[in-house]
Amino acid sequence: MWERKRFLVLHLTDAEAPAWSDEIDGPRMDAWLARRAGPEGWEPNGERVSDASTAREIAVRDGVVTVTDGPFPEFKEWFMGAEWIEASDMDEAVAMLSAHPTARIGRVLVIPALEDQEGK
Amino acid sequence: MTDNTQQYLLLFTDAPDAEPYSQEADDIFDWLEAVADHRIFGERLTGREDARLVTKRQGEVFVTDAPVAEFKEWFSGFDLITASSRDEAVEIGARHPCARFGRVLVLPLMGAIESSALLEQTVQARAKAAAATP
Repeated sequence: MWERKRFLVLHLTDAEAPAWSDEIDGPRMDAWLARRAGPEGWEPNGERVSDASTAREIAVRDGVVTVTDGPFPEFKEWFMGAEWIEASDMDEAVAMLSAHPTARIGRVLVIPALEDQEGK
Repeated sequence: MTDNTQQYLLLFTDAPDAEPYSQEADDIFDWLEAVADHRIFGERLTGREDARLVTKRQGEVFVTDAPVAEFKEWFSGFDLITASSRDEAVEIGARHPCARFGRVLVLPLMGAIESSALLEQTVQARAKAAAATP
């Protein structure tokens, strides 16, 4: 059992959101990375997600594998990045992520891990 | 760990046309054993009601549920894997039971965000790609 809770964070694009600003978002990104490296931090694991056109979707139905090329109509927006973070609870995770640049220039989806089961 | 440096995120989603989940048909432990050399880690995720969408606009923070209209199918879990090619990543994903019980998204990862400059580059490249899409 972990001392702190874990969350999958999906950084999403948002066509309506403002563009990246060095002045506003630069310091926020630096603060995020500093926090991650600090005592309240976690093992760095954030990754940029490639464009939707390079993604693939797999479905197996009655033993038949179907692989679909992106982009996918069900995703209006796409993923900028994905990472795995630790926080004491959802409120803290939300507070941390509201200060992340992608909350301003995109959107951030925070999904808790299921804790009652071993791995997957 | 094999000598595969390219990482992929396998994101598992529900799907309305998938076979219903059954424990007997769930061969996750066979998969875990088969792909042990490729798998970095993975987790199951909680339901939509436990997730939050965070945005900040004009200095104001908005925290909402994940909109059903946008995320019709929810994320049941993920695995971070390494593979020598996308085809291999797809092959690994196709053997996961969630390919039957739902769908598997294979997302190529482009490397860690280690600086704000790198994030800016990514954002600009993404905006350019979006502008080029009709």
